[in-house]
Amino acid sequence: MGEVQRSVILNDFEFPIKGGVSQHRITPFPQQFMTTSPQESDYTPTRKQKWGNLKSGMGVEKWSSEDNDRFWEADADTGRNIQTLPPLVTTLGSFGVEPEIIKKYADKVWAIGNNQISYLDGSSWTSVKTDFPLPTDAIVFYGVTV
Amino acid sequence: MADTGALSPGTMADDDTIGTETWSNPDNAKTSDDSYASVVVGTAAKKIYAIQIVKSDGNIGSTNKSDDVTITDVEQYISYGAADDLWDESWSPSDINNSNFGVVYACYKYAISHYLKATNFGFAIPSGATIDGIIVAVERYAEASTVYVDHIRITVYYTEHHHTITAEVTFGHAVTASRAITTARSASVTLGREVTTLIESGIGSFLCIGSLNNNSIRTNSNVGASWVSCAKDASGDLPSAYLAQFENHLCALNSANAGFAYSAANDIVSNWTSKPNFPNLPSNITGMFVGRDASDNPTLYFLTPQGMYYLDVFTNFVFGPTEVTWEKDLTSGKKGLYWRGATYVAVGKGIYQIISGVVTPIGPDMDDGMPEDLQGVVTDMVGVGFWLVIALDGGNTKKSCILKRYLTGKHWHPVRIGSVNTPIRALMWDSGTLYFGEGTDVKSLPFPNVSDNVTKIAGHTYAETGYIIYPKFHSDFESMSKVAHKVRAVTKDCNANEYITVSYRIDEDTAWTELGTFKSSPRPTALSFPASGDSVGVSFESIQLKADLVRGSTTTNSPKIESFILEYRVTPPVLWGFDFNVMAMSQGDQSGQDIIDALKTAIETGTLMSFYPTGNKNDTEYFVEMAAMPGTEKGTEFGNEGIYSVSVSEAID
Repeated sequence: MGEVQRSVILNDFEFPIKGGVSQHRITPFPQQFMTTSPQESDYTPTRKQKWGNLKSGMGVEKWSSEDNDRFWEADADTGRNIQTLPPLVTTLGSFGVEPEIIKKYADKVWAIGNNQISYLDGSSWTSVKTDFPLPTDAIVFYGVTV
Repeated sequence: MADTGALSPGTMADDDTIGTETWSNPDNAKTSDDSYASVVVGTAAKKIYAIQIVKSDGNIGSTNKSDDVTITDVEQYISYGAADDLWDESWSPSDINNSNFGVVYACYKYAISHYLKATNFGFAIPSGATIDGIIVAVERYAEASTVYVDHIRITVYYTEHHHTITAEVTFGHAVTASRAITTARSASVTLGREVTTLIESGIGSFLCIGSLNNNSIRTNSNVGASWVSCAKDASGDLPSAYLAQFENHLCALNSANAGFAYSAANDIVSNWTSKPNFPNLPSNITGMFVGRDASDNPTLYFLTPQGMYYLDVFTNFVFGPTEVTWEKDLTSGKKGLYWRGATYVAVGKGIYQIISGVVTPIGPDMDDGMPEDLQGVVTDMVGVGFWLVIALDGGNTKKSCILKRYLTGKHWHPVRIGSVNTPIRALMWDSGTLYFGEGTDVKSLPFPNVSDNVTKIAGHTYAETGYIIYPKFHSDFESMSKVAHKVRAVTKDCNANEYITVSYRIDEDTAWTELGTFKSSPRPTALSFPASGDSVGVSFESIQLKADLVRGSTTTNSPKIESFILEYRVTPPVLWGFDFNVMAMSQGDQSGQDIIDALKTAIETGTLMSFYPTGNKNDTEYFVEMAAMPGTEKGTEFGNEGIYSVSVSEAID
């Protein structure tokens, strides 16, 4: 049987006490009065963070409640309420040089790069000019031909 | 030039391809009779969202004549287009005569209306005629929350091609052509007759290409069989790195310093007019485009690494800086675009939007910035439907990518995330497909124009994989530790082939830990933390989730996320309270009053107080406040000797 405790020290003063010291855990959360109908979280010990639509776009790294419809980074399709896989990318034949300009002309897709002007013929490119270097711009103009 | 006169639509409809608000009584816009088609879009300053031609195949033309002008409360016709404005389309008479040809009109304020669609105008333009221009007039006004349309009409301008044939016919014999007509022998008759040609001649389209070598070429062969110089005069080729059509002239600008030229109106074949000293700017020029100035007048602009300049051409031949200038940056000024009432200029990693002279940066580097691996330079822009689409070149250290931003939105969505050292540029959209250059390839991806919700488009094709990284979640209890317990999801179309794998990383972790996979819909089994072992949870200050989407071999399948839920607990620090009874009574050398005074001092102390509950300073020390006023056991007033009940507690861990 241990020795009976006779004092505590509070504020650098030794107070004689009668009986022991009872110790208990306290909550840091004040009691709250509810002003709304009970929510799902009121019935569970856990809290829930939900992301639904992400329509407001990318660029938020640190979450905040006002930006709960945003995300940090993706390549998925996030433009609407439901997120899906990104669109399927198809490589159109082998163009061969970095295309500087892509244009629609005469119902064909044309690609223009350094010394390479071609149009898409089915799934392959038909090269029509290979001696025009450093293209910078292109335009389709409708006008007199003679 | 002839015109059809202003014709009215035979068919009116509410078309919900865009917007949310339905037009009431669309048939009332068939005639000008003070009965109205109407739509509610919100109070004050309602504006036009779209006015676009409907083509014969039912598709809506890409040119939108919407302006930034408030619809007034005065009912009047407002015209769009001109007698020489083809709305950026090529037209044949049959296109115009088709019952599908027409116009759509939409407006907005707090909400966007559906299209008010007018078709079946009953045009009867002669075959062989050249279409010169289209004017759409809308009789409308706005009041309170509603926009009213009384009438929509269209006038088409065209040119018939007449060849006059004069024929002299000599009849050498008596000919009986019919019972009624008998010609005399040796009659000489001159017939004057107009013939409408069936083949359009002398008009065509050209593909024109400029270059840094300062000359340009053109072809009007649909297979590029022959090429000749484009910008030229009697002395030879003219500098022509950048090309733009302005007021029916094709304009060409040198890539450095001076050199400007322009063709005759509608004629790039004849010799051009050269202005070799205009503009005399000692800087590299990086682009030229047609936009609108603060007064909404069409204006020719050029771009340099330090700003956007206007060109006043054909009469004054002056140029000058606009309000859009910046510090010299060789990555800036790659592209300018006028689209849906605003001018957009690429400035390095970002874009400036200019409306009525007011410049606004619109990202994509905003808020917390661009993810580090996507920090590229804007190389190209196109408008597709209501999306502004941009290409970013990540160079040798970042991934190149394509992003899009909704017209009424503020932020950016991914379209294509590429690779390091593989530049993406040269965007072009046509008929639901976005074309782009990636490295030395030309690639395409589906970019529908019938709906932005790809889940509603049959046959839409998906990539094999995709990912979403959510923000770092910390909860509002930032100063307290948390424990993550489960990730739940509501999904669609998930199965053994199409599934979603969830990963997470805690606090400063850079590597991802895989938590599990959702392989069913609509509510797959929740995934528990940690990834292995007992489901006791994982402590975190901040936690970041990642969803990896995967499909099987069927390109039209995709797993879909409707919602993602992190379930967690807040675990606050443990604080302790203490209760004890102080004997404030004189005993031996100790005065009961001294003890009472010490209690009073403790009560009045504002700071926390040192407390040793064991009475031994070698044991644990707590810092406490007085939790309750001392009270004596028998109700004695404070100050009298007795036994006092005291409660103290920790206020902070």
